[in-house]
Amino acid sequence: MKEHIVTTYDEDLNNLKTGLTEMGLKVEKQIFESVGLTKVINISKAKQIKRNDDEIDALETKIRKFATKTLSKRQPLADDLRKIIIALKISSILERIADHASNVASRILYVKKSPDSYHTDSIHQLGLLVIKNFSKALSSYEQQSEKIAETVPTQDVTINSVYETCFREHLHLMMEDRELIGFCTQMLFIAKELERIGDLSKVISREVIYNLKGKLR
Amino acid sequence: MTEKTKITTKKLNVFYEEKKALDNINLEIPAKKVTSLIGPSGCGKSTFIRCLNRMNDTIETCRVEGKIIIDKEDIYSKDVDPVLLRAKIGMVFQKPNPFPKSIFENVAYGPKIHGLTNSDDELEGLVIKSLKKAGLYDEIKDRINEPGTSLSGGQQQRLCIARAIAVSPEIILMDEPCSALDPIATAVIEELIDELVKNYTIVIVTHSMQQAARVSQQTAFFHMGNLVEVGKTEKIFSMPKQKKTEDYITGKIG
Repeated sequence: MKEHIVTTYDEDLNNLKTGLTEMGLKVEKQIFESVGLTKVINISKAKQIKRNDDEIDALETKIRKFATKTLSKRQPLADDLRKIIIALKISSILERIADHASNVASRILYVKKSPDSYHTDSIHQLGLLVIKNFSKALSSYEQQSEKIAETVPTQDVTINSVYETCFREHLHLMMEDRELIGFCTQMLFIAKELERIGDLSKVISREVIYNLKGKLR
Repeated sequence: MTEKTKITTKKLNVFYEEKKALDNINLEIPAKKVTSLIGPSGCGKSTFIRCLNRMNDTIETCRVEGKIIIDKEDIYSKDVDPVLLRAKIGMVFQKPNPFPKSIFENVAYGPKIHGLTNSDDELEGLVIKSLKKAGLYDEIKDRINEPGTSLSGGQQQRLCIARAIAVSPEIILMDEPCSALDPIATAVIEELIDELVKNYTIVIVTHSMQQAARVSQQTAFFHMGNLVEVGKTEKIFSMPKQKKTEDYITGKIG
Protein backbone atom coordinates (compact mmCIF):
# COMPACT_ATOMS: atom_id res chain seq x y z
CA MET A 1 0.00 0.00 0.00
CA LYS A 2 1.36 3.38 -0.97
CA GLU A 3 1.60 6.03 1.66
CA HIS A 4 0.66 9.68 1.54
CA ILE A 5 3.39 12.26 1.24
CA VAL A 6 1.83 13.85 4.34
CA THR A 7 2.19 11.09 6.94
CA THR A 8 -0.36 12.58 9.33
CA TYR A 9 -2.94 12.03 6.59
CA ASP A 10 -2.31 8.27 6.79
CA GLU A 11 -2.60 8.50 10.57
CA ASP A 12 -5.96 10.25 10.26
CA LEU A 13 -7.32 7.60 7.93
CA ASN A 14 -5.99 4.81 10.17
CA ASN A 15 -7.53 6.40 13.25
CA LEU A 16 -10.84 6.60 11.46
CA LYS A 17 -10.69 2.92 10.59
CA THR A 18 -9.64 1.90 14.08
CA GLY A 19 -12.40 3.99 15.63
CA LEU A 20 -15.01 2.46 13.37
CA THR A 21 -13.77 -1.09 13.95
CA GLU A 22 -13.88 -0.52 17.71
CA MET A 23 -17.42 0.78 17.42
CA GLY A 24 -18.29 -2.30 15.34
CA LEU A 25 -16.94 -4.65 18.00
CA LYS A 26 -18.98 -2.89 20.70
CA VAL A 27 -22.10 -3.21 18.55
CA GLU A 28 -21.30 -6.87 17.93
CA LYS A 29 -21.19 -7.42 21.68
CA GLN A 30 -24.55 -5.67 22.07
CA ILE A 31 -26.12 -7.96 19.45
CA PHE A 32 -24.52 -10.99 21.08
CA GLU A 33 -25.88 -10.08 24.53
CA SER A 34 -29.36 -9.27 23.26
CA VAL A 35 -29.56 -12.52 21.24
CA GLY A 36 -28.53 -14.31 24.46
CA LEU A 37 -31.63 -12.85 26.14
CA THR A 38 -33.86 -14.71 23.67
CA LYS A 39 -32.55 -17.97 25.13
CA VAL A 40 -32.27 -17.04 28.80
CA ILE A 41 -34.17 -14.00 30.01
CA ASN A 42 -32.05 -11.84 32.28
CA ILE A 43 -33.52 -8.52 33.40
CA SER A 44 -30.32 -6.97 34.71
CA LYS A 45 -28.48 -7.83 31.49
CA ALA A 46 -31.30 -6.32 29.44
CA LYS A 47 -31.03 -3.10 31.44
CA GLN A 48 -27.28 -3.09 30.91
CA ILE A 49 -27.72 -3.42 27.13
CA LYS A 50 -30.01 -0.42 27.09
CA ARG A 51 -27.52 1.62 29.08
CA ASN A 52 -24.65 0.67 26.74
CA ASP A 53 -26.54 2.14 23.81
CA ASP A 54 -25.63 5.69 24.90
CA GLU A 55 -21.98 4.78 24.65
CA ILE A 56 -22.47 3.65 21.05
CA ASP A 57 -24.32 6.84 20.15
CA ALA A 58 -21.37 8.79 21.55
CA LEU A 59 -18.95 6.77 19.41
CA GLU A 60 -20.95 7.59 16.30
CA THR A 61 -20.79 11.30 17.13
CA LYS A 62 -17.05 11.01 17.68
CA ILE A 63 -16.52 9.34 14.28
CA ARG A 64 -18.69 11.90 12.57
CA LYS A 65 -16.74 14.79 14.07
CA PHE A 66 -13.44 13.20 13.14
CA ALA A 67 -14.58 12.44 9.59
CA THR A 68 -15.85 16.01 9.14
CA LYS A 69 -12.55 17.38 10.38
CA THR A 70 -10.59 15.11 8.03
CA LEU A 71 -12.77 16.10 5.07
CA SER A 72 -12.22 19.80 5.68
CA LYS A 73 -8.55 19.44 6.50
CA ARG A 74 -7.48 17.12 3.68
CA GLN A 75 -10.08 17.66 0.97
CA PRO A 76 -9.70 14.01 0.00
CA LEU A 77 -10.21 12.54 -3.46
CA ALA A 78 -10.69 9.10 -5.03
CA ASP A 79 -10.10 6.17 -2.63
CA ASP A 80 -9.40 8.49 0.32
CA LEU A 81 -12.72 10.22 -0.25
CA ARG A 82 -14.54 6.90 -0.47
CA LYS A 83 -12.92 5.72 2.77
CA ILE A 84 -14.30 8.70 4.63
CA ILE A 85 -17.72 8.56 3.01
CA ILE A 86 -18.16 4.91 3.93
CA ALA A 87 -16.89 5.53 7.47
CA LEU A 88 -19.69 8.09 7.86
CA LYS A 89 -22.28 5.74 6.39
CA ILE A 90 -21.16 2.63 8.26
CA SER A 91 -20.99 4.46 11.60
CA SER A 92 -24.59 5.56 11.17
CA ILE A 93 -25.63 2.02 10.17
CA LEU A 94 -23.85 0.63 13.24
CA GLU A 95 -25.71 3.08 15.42
CA ARG A 96 -29.00 1.87 13.91
CA ILE A 97 -28.03 -1.77 14.43
CA ALA A 98 -27.24 -1.01 18.07
CA ASP A 99 -30.72 0.54 18.39
CA HIS A 100 -32.25 -2.70 17.14
CA ALA A 101 -30.22 -4.68 19.68
CA SER A 102 -31.37 -2.29 22.38
CA ASN A 103 -34.99 -2.71 21.22
CA VAL A 104 -34.65 -6.46 21.72
CA ALA A 105 -33.62 -5.75 25.31
CA SER A 106 -36.64 -3.45 25.75
CA ARG A 107 -39.02 -6.19 24.58
CA ILE A 108 -37.41 -8.59 27.06
CA LEU A 109 -37.92 -6.08 29.86
CA TYR A 110 -41.56 -5.92 28.81
CA VAL A 111 -42.23 -9.69 28.91
CA LYS A 112 -40.12 -10.24 32.04
CA LYS A 113 -40.31 -14.06 31.88
CA SER A 114 -40.88 -16.87 29.43
CA PRO A 115 -44.17 -18.86 29.83
CA ASP A 116 -43.65 -22.53 30.80
CA SER A 117 -45.52 -23.73 27.71
CA TYR A 118 -43.16 -21.89 25.28
CA HIS A 119 -40.76 -24.52 23.92
CA THR A 120 -38.92 -23.24 20.89
CA ASP A 121 -35.55 -21.65 20.39
CA SER A 122 -36.08 -20.73 16.72
CA ILE A 123 -35.68 -16.99 17.39
CA HIS A 124 -32.45 -17.63 19.23
CA GLN A 125 -31.26 -19.63 16.21
CA LEU A 126 -32.24 -16.72 13.98
CA GLY A 127 -30.23 -14.45 16.25
CA LEU A 128 -27.15 -16.64 15.96
CA LEU A 129 -27.29 -16.45 12.16
CA VAL A 130 -27.68 -12.68 12.37
CA ILE A 131 -24.62 -12.32 14.63
CA LYS A 132 -22.55 -14.48 12.30
CA ASN A 133 -23.48 -12.43 9.27
CA PHE A 134 -22.90 -9.14 11.08
CA SER A 135 -19.43 -10.35 12.10
CA LYS A 136 -18.67 -11.18 8.48
CA ALA A 137 -19.77 -7.73 7.35
CA LEU A 138 -17.53 -6.20 10.01
CA SER A 139 -14.51 -8.32 9.04
CA SER A 140 -15.03 -7.47 5.38
CA TYR A 141 -14.60 -3.81 6.43
CA GLU A 142 -11.66 -4.47 8.69
CA GLN A 143 -9.82 -6.60 6.14
CA GLN A 144 -11.02 -4.61 3.11
CA SER A 145 -12.10 -7.93 1.60
CA GLU A 146 -14.45 -8.01 -1.33
CA LYS A 147 -14.53 -11.80 -1.05
CA ILE A 148 -15.93 -11.75 2.49
CA ALA A 149 -18.30 -8.86 1.65
CA GLU A 150 -19.79 -10.86 -1.23
CA THR A 151 -20.88 -13.66 1.12
CA VAL A 152 -23.00 -11.36 3.31
CA PRO A 153 -25.99 -10.79 0.95
CA THR A 154 -26.12 -14.52 0.16
CA GLN A 155 -26.33 -15.39 3.84
CA ASP A 156 -29.00 -12.74 4.34
CA VAL A 157 -31.30 -14.69 2.01
CA THR A 158 -31.09 -17.58 4.49
CA ILE A 159 -31.76 -15.23 7.40
CA ASN A 160 -34.90 -13.95 5.69
CA SER A 161 -36.24 -17.42 5.12
CA VAL A 162 -35.49 -18.43 8.73
CA TYR A 163 -37.35 -15.28 9.80
CA GLU A 164 -40.38 -16.32 7.73
CA THR A 165 -40.29 -19.74 9.34
CA CYS A 166 -40.17 -18.19 12.84
CA PHE A 167 -43.10 -16.01 11.93
CA ARG A 168 -45.29 -18.95 10.80
CA GLU A 169 -44.23 -21.05 13.75
CA HIS A 170 -45.26 -18.32 16.22
CA LEU A 171 -48.61 -17.83 14.47
CA HIS A 172 -49.30 -21.52 14.98
CA LEU A 173 -48.24 -21.33 18.62
CA MET A 174 -50.64 -18.45 19.19
CA MET A 175 -53.49 -20.23 17.43
CA GLU A 176 -52.94 -23.34 19.51
CA ASP A 177 -52.56 -21.61 22.87
CA ARG A 178 -54.18 -18.22 23.49
CA GLU A 179 -52.15 -17.85 26.68
CA LEU A 180 -49.04 -17.43 24.53
CA ILE A 181 -50.38 -14.55 22.40
CA GLY A 182 -48.87 -11.77 24.51
CA PHE A 183 -45.45 -13.37 24.78
CA CYS A 184 -45.28 -14.57 21.16
CA THR A 185 -46.22 -11.11 19.86
CA GLN A 186 -43.22 -9.65 21.68
CA MET A 187 -41.03 -12.47 20.35
CA LEU A 188 -42.20 -11.69 16.81
CA PHE A 189 -41.20 -8.08 17.30
CA ILE A 190 -37.81 -9.31 18.48
CA ALA A 191 -37.53 -11.51 15.39
CA LYS A 192 -38.25 -8.45 13.25
CA GLU A 193 -35.50 -6.46 15.03
CA LEU A 194 -33.05 -9.26 14.32
CA GLU A 195 -34.10 -9.52 10.71
CA ARG A 196 -33.47 -5.77 10.31
CA ILE A 197 -29.93 -6.22 11.70
CA GLY A 198 -29.47 -8.79 8.93
CA ASP A 199 -30.56 -6.29 6.28
CA LEU A 200 -28.28 -3.59 7.67
CA SER A 201 -25.30 -5.98 7.71
CA LYS A 202 -25.92 -6.39 4.01
CA VAL A 203 -25.78 -2.60 3.58
CA ILE A 204 -22.40 -2.54 5.36
CA SER A 205 -21.03 -5.15 2.96
CA ARG A 206 -22.26 -3.06 0.05
CA GLU A 207 -20.38 -0.02 1.37
CA VAL A 208 -17.21 -2.09 1.66
CA ILE A 209 -17.53 -3.10 -1.99
CA TYR A 210 -18.16 0.53 -2.96
CA ASN A 211 -14.96 1.50 -1.18
CA LEU A 212 -12.96 -1.12 -3.07
CA LYS A 213 -14.53 -0.89 -6.50
CA GLY A 214 -15.90 2.66 -6.57
CA LYS A 215 -19.20 1.39 -7.91
CA LEU A 216 -22.61 1.65 -6.30
CA ARG A 217 -24.98 -1.17 -6.95
CA MET B 1 -17.66 11.36 -26.11
CA THR B 2 -20.85 12.40 -27.87
CA GLU B 3 -20.20 16.16 -27.79
CA LYS B 4 -18.70 18.03 -30.70
CA THR B 5 -14.91 18.02 -30.61
CA LYS B 6 -13.23 21.42 -30.89
CA ILE B 7 -9.57 20.48 -30.65
CA THR B 8 -7.93 17.18 -31.51
CA THR B 9 -4.26 16.41 -31.08
CA LYS B 10 -2.80 13.47 -32.99
CA LYS B 11 0.55 11.89 -32.16
CA LEU B 12 1.74 15.18 -30.75
CA ASN B 13 5.43 15.18 -29.80
CA VAL B 14 7.24 18.25 -28.51
CA PHE B 15 10.98 18.57 -28.05
CA TYR B 16 13.12 21.23 -26.44
CA GLU B 17 16.39 20.59 -28.26
CA GLU B 18 16.91 16.84 -27.69
CA LYS B 19 14.65 16.59 -24.68
CA LYS B 20 11.20 15.19 -25.35
CA ALA B 21 8.67 17.25 -23.38
CA LEU B 22 5.50 15.63 -24.74
CA ASP B 23 5.29 12.08 -25.98
CA ASN B 24 2.58 10.97 -28.38
CA ILE B 25 -0.36 12.97 -27.02
CA ASN B 26 -3.73 12.04 -28.51
CA LEU B 27 -6.42 14.12 -26.89
CA GLU B 28 -9.85 15.35 -27.88
CA ILE B 29 -11.13 18.55 -26.34
CA PRO B 30 -14.91 18.97 -26.51
CA ALA B 31 -16.46 22.24 -27.69
CA LYS B 32 -18.06 24.54 -25.11
CA LYS B 33 -16.80 22.49 -22.19
CA VAL B 34 -14.06 23.06 -19.66
CA THR B 35 -11.14 20.65 -19.93
CA SER B 36 -8.65 20.76 -17.08
CA LEU B 37 -5.07 19.60 -17.36
CA ILE B 38 -3.50 18.33 -14.16
CA GLY B 39 -0.16 16.82 -13.27
CA PRO B 40 3.03 17.54 -11.35
CA SER B 41 5.33 20.43 -12.29
CA GLY B 42 7.29 19.67 -15.44
CA CYS B 43 4.82 17.07 -16.69
CA GLY B 44 4.18 18.93 -19.93
CA LYS B 45 0.76 20.43 -19.34
CA SER B 46 1.91 24.01 -19.88
CA THR B 47 3.89 22.93 -22.94
CA PHE B 48 0.72 21.30 -24.21
CA ILE B 49 -1.47 24.36 -23.70
CA ARG B 50 1.18 26.55 -25.39
CA CYS B 51 1.06 24.32 -28.47
CA LEU B 52 -2.63 25.01 -28.89
CA ASN B 53 -2.06 28.66 -29.87
CA ARG B 54 1.44 28.10 -31.30
CA MET B 55 3.06 30.12 -28.56
CA ASN B 56 5.91 27.63 -28.63
CA ASP B 57 6.78 29.03 -32.06
CA THR B 58 8.57 31.84 -30.27
CA ILE B 59 10.94 29.42 -28.57
CA GLU B 60 13.73 28.64 -31.02
CA THR B 61 14.76 25.32 -29.53
CA CYS B 62 11.21 24.01 -29.49
CA ARG B 63 10.15 21.50 -32.15
CA VAL B 64 6.57 20.26 -32.58
CA GLU B 65 5.62 17.02 -34.40
CA GLY B 66 2.22 15.58 -35.07
CA LYS B 67 -1.07 17.33 -35.62
CA ILE B 68 -3.28 19.73 -33.74
CA ILE B 69 -6.62 20.05 -35.44
CA ILE B 70 -8.97 22.86 -34.54
CA ASP B 71 -12.26 22.78 -36.42
CA LYS B 72 -10.88 20.42 -39.07
CA GLU B 73 -7.82 22.61 -39.73
CA ASP B 74 -4.29 21.59 -38.78
CA ILE B 75 -2.98 24.69 -37.02
CA TYR B 76 0.63 23.78 -37.78
CA SER B 77 0.05 23.70 -41.56
CA LYS B 78 1.88 26.34 -43.60
CA ASP B 79 -1.30 28.20 -44.58
CA VAL B 80 -2.14 29.12 -41.02
CA ASP B 81 -1.22 32.60 -39.85
CA PRO B 82 -0.32 32.32 -36.16
CA VAL B 83 -1.49 35.89 -35.51
CA LEU B 84 -4.98 35.15 -36.81
CA LEU B 85 -4.93 31.84 -34.97
CA ARG B 86 -4.18 33.61 -31.70
CA ALA B 87 -7.11 35.95 -32.27
CA LYS B 88 -9.28 32.85 -32.24
CA ILE B 89 -7.64 31.57 -29.07
CA GLY B 90 -7.46 33.81 -26.03
CA MET B 91 -5.01 33.13 -23.24
CA VAL B 92 -4.90 33.99 -19.55
CA PHE B 93 -1.75 33.47 -17.53
CA GLN B 94 -0.84 32.61 -13.97
CA LYS B 95 0.15 36.15 -13.09
CA PRO B 96 -2.25 38.85 -14.25
CA ASN B 97 -0.37 40.86 -16.89
CA PRO B 98 -2.36 43.94 -17.87
CA PHE B 99 -0.66 46.34 -20.29
CA PRO B 100 0.66 49.53 -18.66
CA LYS B 101 -2.33 51.39 -20.06
CA SER B 102 -5.80 52.32 -18.90
CA ILE B 103 -8.45 49.70 -18.20
CA PHE B 104 -10.24 50.80 -21.37
CA GLU B 105 -7.11 50.60 -23.52
CA ASN B 106 -6.26 47.16 -22.19
CA VAL B 107 -9.50 45.76 -23.55
CA ALA B 108 -9.60 47.96 -26.69
CA TYR B 109 -6.10 46.94 -27.76
CA GLY B 110 -6.98 43.62 -29.42
CA PRO B 111 -10.05 44.81 -31.35
CA LYS B 112 -7.99 47.81 -32.55
CA ILE B 113 -5.08 45.82 -33.98
CA HIS B 114 -7.39 43.26 -35.54
CA GLY B 115 -9.63 46.06 -36.90
CA LEU B 116 -12.76 44.53 -35.42
CA THR B 117 -14.72 47.76 -35.04
CA ASN B 118 -15.57 50.60 -37.41
CA SER B 119 -16.14 53.50 -35.04
CA ASP B 120 -15.19 54.75 -31.60
CA ASP B 121 -18.76 54.17 -30.38
CA GLU B 122 -18.65 50.62 -31.58
CA LEU B 123 -15.29 50.09 -29.90
CA GLU B 124 -16.57 51.53 -26.63
CA GLY B 125 -19.59 49.23 -26.82
CA LEU B 126 -17.35 46.22 -27.35
CA VAL B 127 -15.07 47.17 -24.44
CA ILE B 128 -18.04 47.57 -22.10
CA LYS B 129 -19.57 44.31 -23.30
CA SER B 130 -16.30 42.46 -22.73
CA LEU B 131 -15.84 43.96 -19.26
CA LYS B 132 -19.41 42.94 -18.42
CA LYS B 133 -18.81 39.39 -19.66
CA ALA B 134 -15.73 39.19 -17.48
CA GLY B 135 -17.83 40.27 -14.50
CA LEU B 136 -15.70 43.38 -13.93
CA TYR B 137 -17.69 46.28 -15.36
CA ASP B 138 -19.87 47.11 -12.34
CA GLU B 139 -16.84 47.31 -10.07
CA ILE B 140 -14.75 49.64 -12.29
CA LYS B 141 -17.20 51.59 -14.48
CA ASP B 142 -16.31 54.90 -12.74
CA ARG B 143 -12.58 54.51 -13.26
CA ILE B 144 -12.34 52.99 -16.70
CA ASN B 145 -9.58 55.41 -17.66
CA GLU B 146 -7.38 54.58 -14.69
CA PRO B 147 -4.38 52.30 -15.23
CA GLY B 148 -5.13 48.57 -15.40
CA THR B 149 -2.34 48.00 -12.92
CA SER B 150 -4.24 49.98 -10.25
CA LEU B 151 -6.74 47.14 -9.88
CA SER B 152 -6.53 44.34 -7.31
CA GLY B 153 -5.00 41.00 -8.39
CA GLY B 154 -8.37 39.33 -8.90
CA GLN B 155 -9.68 42.33 -10.84
CA GLN B 156 -6.52 42.40 -12.97
CA GLN B 157 -7.06 38.74 -13.83
CA ARG B 158 -10.64 39.48 -14.86
CA LEU B 159 -9.33 42.42 -16.90
CA CYS B 160 -7.04 39.97 -18.71
CA ILE B 161 -10.06 37.73 -19.34
CA ALA B 162 -12.00 40.74 -20.68
CA ARG B 163 -9.03 41.54 -22.93
CA ALA B 164 -8.95 37.93 -24.14
CA ILE B 165 -12.66 37.78 -24.97
CA ALA B 166 -12.78 41.23 -26.63
CA VAL B 167 -11.41 39.72 -29.86
CA SER B 168 -14.25 37.14 -29.92
CA PRO B 169 -12.14 34.04 -29.51
CA GLU B 170 -13.62 30.57 -29.69
CA ILE B 171 -11.19 29.03 -27.29
CA ILE B 172 -9.81 30.36 -24.02
CA LEU B 173 -6.62 28.88 -22.60
CA MET B 174 -5.94 29.45 -18.93
CA ASP B 175 -2.59 28.62 -17.41
CA GLU B 176 -3.12 28.45 -13.63
CA PRO B 177 -5.32 31.55 -13.68
CA CYS B 178 -6.05 31.51 -9.94
CA SER B 179 -2.76 30.47 -8.40
CA ALA B 180 -1.85 34.07 -7.51
CA LEU B 181 -5.33 34.92 -6.20
CA ASP B 182 -7.02 34.72 -2.80
CA PRO B 183 -10.00 32.34 -2.29
CA ILE B 184 -12.64 35.02 -2.90
CA ALA B 185 -11.06 36.24 -6.14
CA THR B 186 -10.64 32.58 -7.12
CA ALA B 187 -14.34 31.92 -6.52
CA VAL B 188 -15.24 34.92 -8.70
CA ILE B 189 -13.05 33.61 -11.54
CA GLU B 190 -14.51 30.11 -11.19
CA GLU B 191 -18.01 31.54 -11.30
CA LEU B 192 -16.97 33.40 -14.44
CA ILE B 193 -15.61 30.21 -16.04
CA ASP B 194 -19.01 28.55 -15.46
CA GLU B 195 -20.58 31.45 -17.33
CA LEU B 196 -18.01 31.66 -20.14
CA VAL B 197 -18.23 27.96 -20.97
CA LYS B 198 -21.66 28.53 -22.47
CA ASN B 199 -19.96 30.31 -25.38
CA TYR B 200 -16.32 29.25 -25.34
CA THR B 201 -14.22 26.12 -25.25
CA ILE B 202 -11.98 26.41 -22.22
CA VAL B 203 -8.75 24.59 -21.44
CA ILE B 204 -7.36 25.24 -17.98
CA VAL B 205 -4.11 24.16 -16.37
CA THR B 206 -4.44 23.96 -12.61
CA HIS B 207 -2.51 22.62 -9.64
CA SER B 208 -5.62 22.59 -7.49
CA MET B 209 -7.40 19.25 -7.76
CA GLN B 210 -10.43 20.81 -6.11
CA GLN B 211 -10.51 23.55 -8.71
CA ALA B 212 -10.33 21.01 -11.54
CA ALA B 213 -13.13 19.05 -9.88
CA ARG B 214 -15.24 22.18 -9.51
CA VAL B 215 -14.87 23.87 -12.88
CA SER B 216 -14.23 21.21 -15.51
CA GLN B 217 -16.24 18.57 -17.27
CA GLN B 218 -13.22 16.72 -18.66
CA THR B 219 -9.89 16.17 -16.94
CA ALA B 220 -6.59 15.01 -18.43
CA PHE B 221 -3.74 13.83 -16.24
CA PHE B 222 -0.21 14.35 -17.57
CA HIS B 223 2.87 12.73 -16.12
CA MET B 224 6.45 13.03 -17.42
CA GLY B 225 5.35 14.11 -20.86
CA ASN B 226 2.71 11.40 -21.21
CA LEU B 227 -1.04 11.66 -21.16
CA VAL B 228 -1.76 9.05 -18.49
CA GLU B 229 -5.52 9.29 -18.32
CA VAL B 230 -8.35 11.41 -19.64
CA GLY B 231 -12.01 11.17 -18.81
CA LYS B 232 -15.05 12.77 -17.25
CA THR B 233 -13.89 14.89 -14.33
CA GLU B 234 -16.28 13.24 -11.92
CA LYS B 235 -14.86 9.83 -12.83
CA ILE B 236 -11.22 10.92 -12.59
CA PHE B 237 -11.67 12.27 -9.07
CA SER B 238 -13.85 9.53 -7.68
CA MET B 239 -12.59 6.39 -9.40
CA PRO B 240 -9.60 6.95 -11.69
CA LYS B 241 -8.66 3.97 -13.85
CA GLN B 242 -4.91 4.38 -13.57
CA LYS B 243 -3.02 3.84 -10.33
CA LYS B 244 -0.67 6.72 -11.30
CA THR B 245 -3.62 9.11 -11.46
CA GLU B 246 -4.96 7.96 -8.13
CA ASP B 247 -1.57 8.31 -6.45
CA TYR B 248 -1.17 11.82 -7.79
CA ILE B 249 -4.60 13.16 -6.90
CA THR B 250 -4.54 11.62 -3.43
CA GLY B 251 -0.94 12.71 -2.77
CA LYS B 252 0.72 9.32 -2.37
CA ILE B 253 4.29 8.08 -2.83
CA GLY B 254 6.25 4.87 -2.27
